[in-house]
Amino acid sequence: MTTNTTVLDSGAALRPSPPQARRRRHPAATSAGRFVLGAGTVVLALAFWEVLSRTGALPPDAIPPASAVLAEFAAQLFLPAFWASLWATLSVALLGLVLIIVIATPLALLIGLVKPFAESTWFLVEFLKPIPPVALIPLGLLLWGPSPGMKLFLIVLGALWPLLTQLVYGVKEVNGVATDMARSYRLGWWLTTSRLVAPSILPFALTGLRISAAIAIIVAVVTEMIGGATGLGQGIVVAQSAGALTQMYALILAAGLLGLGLNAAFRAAEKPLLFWHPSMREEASR
Amino acid sequence: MTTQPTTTEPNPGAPNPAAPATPPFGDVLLELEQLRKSYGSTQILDGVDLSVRRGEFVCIVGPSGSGKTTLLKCMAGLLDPSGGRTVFEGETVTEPPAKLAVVFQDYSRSLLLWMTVAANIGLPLKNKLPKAGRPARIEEVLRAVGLSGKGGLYPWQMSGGMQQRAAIARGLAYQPDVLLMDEPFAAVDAQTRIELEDLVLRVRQDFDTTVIFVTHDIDEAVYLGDRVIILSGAPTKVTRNITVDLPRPRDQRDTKLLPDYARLRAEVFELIQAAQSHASIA
Repeated sequence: MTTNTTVLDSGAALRPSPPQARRRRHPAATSAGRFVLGAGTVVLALAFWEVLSRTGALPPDAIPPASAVLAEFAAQLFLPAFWASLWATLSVALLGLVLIIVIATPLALLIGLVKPFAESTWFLVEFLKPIPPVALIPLGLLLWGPSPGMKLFLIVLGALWPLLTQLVYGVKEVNGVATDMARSYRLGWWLTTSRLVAPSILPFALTGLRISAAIAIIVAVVTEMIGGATGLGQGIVVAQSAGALTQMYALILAAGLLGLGLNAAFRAAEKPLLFWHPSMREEASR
Repeated sequence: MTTQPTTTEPNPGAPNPAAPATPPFGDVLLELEQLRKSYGSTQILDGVDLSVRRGEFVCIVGPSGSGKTTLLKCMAGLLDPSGGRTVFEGETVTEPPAKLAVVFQDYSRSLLLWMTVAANIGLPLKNKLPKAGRPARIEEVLRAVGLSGKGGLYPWQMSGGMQQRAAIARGLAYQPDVLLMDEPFAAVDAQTRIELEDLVLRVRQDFDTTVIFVTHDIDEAVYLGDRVIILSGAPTKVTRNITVDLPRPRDQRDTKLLPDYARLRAEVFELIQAAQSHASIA
């Protein structure tokens, strides 16, 4: 016990000065500073890639220079085929998310509120959760062939769980004092659901949805690569087998940006919706 | 319970919960009859009898661990008793009655963070009052609790004391016949507490509300109440029912200087101590 405290004490004594000093000259203190830092790192990484590829430190046949990939990416932006495959990936991912919301919401309510239901489904859910959706591609192909249906099936199976888990947490977190308040003021079913339960669950739902969206994009691209449905994933495989490596990397870049964009869109939605949440208030006051 | 100080109670010595309070009060508004509550084999309430008249301010005090909150929830219709019943305005309570409002201890949880204070107060009115009448009612109660012009703020932009004022305003706007308050000032600082005590006395006067006030604070109970009900430790019963015949309006300085105040306070203190030691032995 005594040694523990001493260790903690000395640790605490060491700590104060560095963070304070850092806070004073940290460029990340402002949002502009944060952007410059982030963008700077990206530029540096691209420059590093360029140099490695041009000097032959990386095999230029396998990894063309960054400038070539970026040029190809810019060229792709003018091709209708590129946008078609981007849309094929994005639309199925979004449709999958809608299906996931439709499935997860009632399921989470049942699991969160009906104890016997939670107990009887617990094993099944825990069993299904860790199955990689990719492992089910053969099943999807057997059922639907290389089609959007197959993609949708695998997206739902793969990306359902984060949202479902978060929603179950959210349902359980609706606080007892507020529910007592709602009952004692006789708010009734509709007002209780719309004004108390839904906003309480919202932070959990948005987090779950954001994680599910990222997984949905990944699963969509992978199923296109392996299962051969149209989309960015298929484009990547076709470009690779045709030896069009700059195009392949440009498409990989597009897939990455798609995931990033979707994530940013969800983040942007969180701000106005969760302005009241302690985590958002902290961020705003920073 | 061995040393009983002499009291000025109308019915000396008898723990008679149905004792009529001093005249100006009206008919019986709320009555507990042999209320019992147990969770599994743990008995919390062991036959609580209590009668509250219209217009009364009744404080319920008990040692920590006595089922004060459980009792209040049974009164409010939020919890079904295991035995006995609550009668409110002549009817057995099976769900929260329409003319009863609760102010909870935990204002930070009972107010909804995503709504402005005005919207929080207006929420229970949606089922009660046509839309056109709501703003005036909200403004009226905000003024009554000293939050005029603060309706547009969110609860998290306010201090704890202001939040509890807002919660009280919500209760008042509901225009209940009885306001149940569950240790409402337990989480605010001493200065704010004094302000809020006087606020409650004032709005009780202005709105002509019956108040049942649960607290663990002896001073607060004697200062506020027309009557103080003292609970035993768990399993809880009413051990004593003391009439507080201190003059009104009460005043934080003058009332507390009265010899009667000191005597009542001492009496309640001893009863609580006795209940606590009894509970810890049992």
